Amino acid sequence: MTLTGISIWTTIALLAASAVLLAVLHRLRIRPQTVWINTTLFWNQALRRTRARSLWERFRHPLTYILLLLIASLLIMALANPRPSIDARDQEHTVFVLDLSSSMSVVSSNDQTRLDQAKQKLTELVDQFAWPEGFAVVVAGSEPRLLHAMGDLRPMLEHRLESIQAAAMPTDRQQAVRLAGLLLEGRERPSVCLITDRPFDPEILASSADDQQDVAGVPSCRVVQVGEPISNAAILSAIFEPDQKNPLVGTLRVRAGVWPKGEAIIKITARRERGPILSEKELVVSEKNEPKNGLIVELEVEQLAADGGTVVVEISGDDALRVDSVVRYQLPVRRPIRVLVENEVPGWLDLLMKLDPTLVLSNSNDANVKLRVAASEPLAGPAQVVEMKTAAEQASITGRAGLDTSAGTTFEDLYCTAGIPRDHFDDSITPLVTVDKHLIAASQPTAPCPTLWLADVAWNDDSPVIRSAAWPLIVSRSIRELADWTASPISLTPTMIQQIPEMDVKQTVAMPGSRAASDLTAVEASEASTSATSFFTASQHAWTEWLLLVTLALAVAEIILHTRGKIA
Amino acid sequence: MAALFDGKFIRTIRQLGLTANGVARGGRHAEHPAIELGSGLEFRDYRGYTPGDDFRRIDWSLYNRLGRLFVRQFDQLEDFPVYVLLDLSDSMWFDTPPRANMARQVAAAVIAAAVNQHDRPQIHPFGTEFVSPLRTIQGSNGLARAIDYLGTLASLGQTDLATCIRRFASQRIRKGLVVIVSDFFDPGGAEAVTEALRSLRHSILLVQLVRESDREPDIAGEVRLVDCESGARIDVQADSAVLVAYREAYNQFQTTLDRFAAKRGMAHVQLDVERPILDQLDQLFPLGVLQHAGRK
Repeated sequence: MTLTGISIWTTIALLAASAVLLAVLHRLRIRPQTVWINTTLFWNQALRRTRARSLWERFRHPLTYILLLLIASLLIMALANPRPSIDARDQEHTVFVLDLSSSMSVVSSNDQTRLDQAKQKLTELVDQFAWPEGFAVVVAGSEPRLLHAMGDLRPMLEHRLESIQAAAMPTDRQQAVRLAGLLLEGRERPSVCLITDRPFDPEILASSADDQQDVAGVPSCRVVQVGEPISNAAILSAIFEPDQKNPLVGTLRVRAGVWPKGEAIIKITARRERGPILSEKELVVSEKNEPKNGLIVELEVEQLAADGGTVVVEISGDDALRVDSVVRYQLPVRRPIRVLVENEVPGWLDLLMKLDPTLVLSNSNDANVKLRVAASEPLAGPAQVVEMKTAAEQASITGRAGLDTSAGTTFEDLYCTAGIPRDHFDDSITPLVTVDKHLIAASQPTAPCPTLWLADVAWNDDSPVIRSAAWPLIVSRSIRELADWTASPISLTPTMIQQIPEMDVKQTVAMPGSRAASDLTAVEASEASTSATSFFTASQHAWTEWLLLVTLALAVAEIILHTRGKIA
Repeated sequence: MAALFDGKFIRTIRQLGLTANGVARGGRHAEHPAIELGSGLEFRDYRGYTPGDDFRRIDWSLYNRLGRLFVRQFDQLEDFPVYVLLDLSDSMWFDTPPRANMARQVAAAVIAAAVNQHDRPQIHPFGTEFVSPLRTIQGSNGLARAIDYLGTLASLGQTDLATCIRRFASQRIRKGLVVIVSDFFDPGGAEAVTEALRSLRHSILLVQLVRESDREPDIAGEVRLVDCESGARIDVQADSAVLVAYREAYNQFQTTLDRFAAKRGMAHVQLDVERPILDQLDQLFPLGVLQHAGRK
C-alpha cells in the first residue's frame, strides 16, 4: 500500500503523537469522582462477585484506550489517502482513441458538440482508472498522434484536451487504433477504447492485419459512442447476380438502410455513370411503422451487362432525413469464352454454341482464347476439351438408358469399360456422364491444364446422346468451370464520394451511423457512466471513503458504549 | 450538645425503666432480684440447716413439728450491671447526621433507665480500643454526669469492634447487660463480630444504627470510593450489576447478625439515624427489647 496524502514518516509521527495524547486524555478521562463512604466492606464484596464474572470489566479501561486509538489511527490513515500498491505487471493498460472527424463537430441537443461529449466521456473513463500510469490518449485527426502518454501527469490531460478541435480533413480511425495497438505492445492486459460518434467494427483490425502476427498482437477494442443517433439512411451493399441463362448479364441488387425519426421521404436512384437512370425508387418511411432496427430498401437493376462499367447509386431524402450520399459500384467483367478449334467444329460444339451464348469461336491469333478443342493429348495452356478414345464395341452407344450423371459410379469401373488405359489418367478425374454404363464425359481440372474428356462417340456420332437435353448442359457447365467462370452472386465493393455544398473540396467520409449500432454502444456508454457515479467503485478515493466510514462507525459505537457505562 | 440532649429528650429518658431478672450476686442492693437467695425481706423458701448457717434463720416452729432443723431463705434484691459499649470510631462520625449522635442518645437513654432503677450503668466508649470509661453513675446527678461525659466524647479512630468485644469479654466483671451501640461495620465483616460476641457471657443487646443509604447507596457511574476510616480506595463502575451485588452483600451481613442474635437469645434492634430517637425508643422501652434482655 502507498500513501498519497501524507508521507509515511508523517503518518507514523501522527500516530505516535495520537497514542501519547490519547493516553494522557484517557487517564484524565477515566479519573473517577471521589466519594467518601463510611465503609468499603460491602463494596469489596460486591466487586468480588461481579468482577469474577466479567472479563469485560477487567479490560474495560484498556479497551477504551484501544478503541480511541483505533479511531484516531483510522482517521490519520484516511488523511494519508492510502492506495493499494500496484504491480505494473498486473495492471490494465488502455489507450483511449479520440475521434476528431468532422462529424464530431455536430452539435447535439444539449448544445454540446459531439467532441465536447467525447472529451467528457474520456475524462470520466480516465477518472475510473485506478492506476494513473496505465492509460494514454491518441487522437484520430488528419493523422493519428499521441496526445497523452502513459506516465504523464494526470492534470496535464485536461489542458491538452482543451486545445484539440475536430479535424476538417478526413480522419482514419483504423490508423489511430493501430497506433494505439503499437503503444500497447509488450504491456499487460492491453485494450483500446475508441470514443467516436459512429459505429466501428473492431474486427476490421484483425481482418485487415497484414499477417497472423499482427492479428495476434491486436488488443481488444471497445467502442464508446457519443452523440445522439440521428435519422439517416445509407447504402449498405450491392451485389451482382449473373443470369442463369446468359451469365454475360445479371441483376444488380442494391440494399439501403433507413432509420427514420418521425416520417421521411427517401429516394434511391441507380444510373450508369454519365448515363441514363437505370432504376429508381421513392418511398415514405415512418418510425412508427418500421422495425426497431430500421428499414431495408432494395433496388434492382435487371439485365445489366457485366461489362466492367460503373453504376452510380444515389440515396437522398428530405429535410427530415440527414443523408446525402453517392456510391459508385464497378460491374464485373464477363466476356464470352473464346474457343479455339484445331480441326473441324465437332457436332457437339456446334450444338453447344447454339445453346450457350458464353461460347464464341476464335482463331489462333487471339490471345484471349480460354478453351482449346483438340483431339490430341492435353497440353499446358488454356483449358482443353480432348477426345477420349473408347473401345470399338462402344462406338454405337444409343443411350436408350439415358444419361447417367451419377457421381457414385467409380471412374475405374467406367474407364475400364471404355477401354482406356489406366495410366492415361490420375485420381483427379471426375466422371461426369455415363450412358449405358459407358463413360462419355470426365473432368480433369488439374495438370497439365484443366481438361474435359469427351468420348469419341460424342465427337463423331450425331447420336441421341448428343441430342439429349442434359448433354449440352453438362458440357456447358463443365466448360465454364474449366474457364474459371462463377455463377455465384458477386459482392461489389463501393467507393463513395460525398459532396458537401458548403465546402469546395470533395472528400471521402464515412457513412452515418446506424441506429442499431448507436443503441448498442449507447447502452455500453451509459453503463460506464453509471459505474463512474457509483460511490464505492475501485477508484482512487475508495480507500479513504471506507476508512472514514469505519472511523465514523467506531466513533458512534464509542459514544454509545460510553453513555451506557460499558466503557470508561 | 444542647441539641443532642435537649430538655424533651432528658424528660423522656428520665421516665424509662429497665427490667432484668436473674441478676448476678455481688451487687449492691437495688431493685433486681438476684439469682441467689439472700437477706431480703420477702420469704422465698426453706432449706436444710448446714453447719455455719445463721441461727437466727432457723425456723423453730418447723423444728417443733418435724424435729429437723430448717433455715428460711429470702429474695436478694441487688443492682443490675449495665455496660454500654459505645462505638465512636471514625465511621460513626461520618455523614450527616452522624451516627455518633444517636449512639450517644441511645447510651444516655439506657443509662437513664438504669439509673432510674438504681442500677449501675457504665459507659465504655471505644474505637480502635477502649478509652477511659465512665463507671460511677448513680442517682440523678449520675445521669447528668453521664450526659456531660457523652457530650465530651469525640472520634476514637478506626473501628476494631471484634477486638474490643473480646477484650471486654476478658474482664472479670459481674454479669450484666451489655448494650453494644454501633454500626457493626467491622472490617472483618459480620463473621468477625459474631465470633467476638460468642466470648461475651453477659446478656447482650445489639443496637445497630443504620441509615437508608447503607442498603441503597446513592452512587452511580465511575467512582472512586474512599473509606472514611482507613482511607482505602477502590474504583467502582457502579452499574446495575454491582449495585445488586452490593445489596446482596449488605443483606447477607444483616441476616448473619439477625440469625446469630436469634440463635444466642440476643436482642438485635435497628434504629434509623435519620429519624428522631424519641420516635424509636419504643423499640427499647418499656415493652421493648430491654425488658427481655436480662431474662435467663
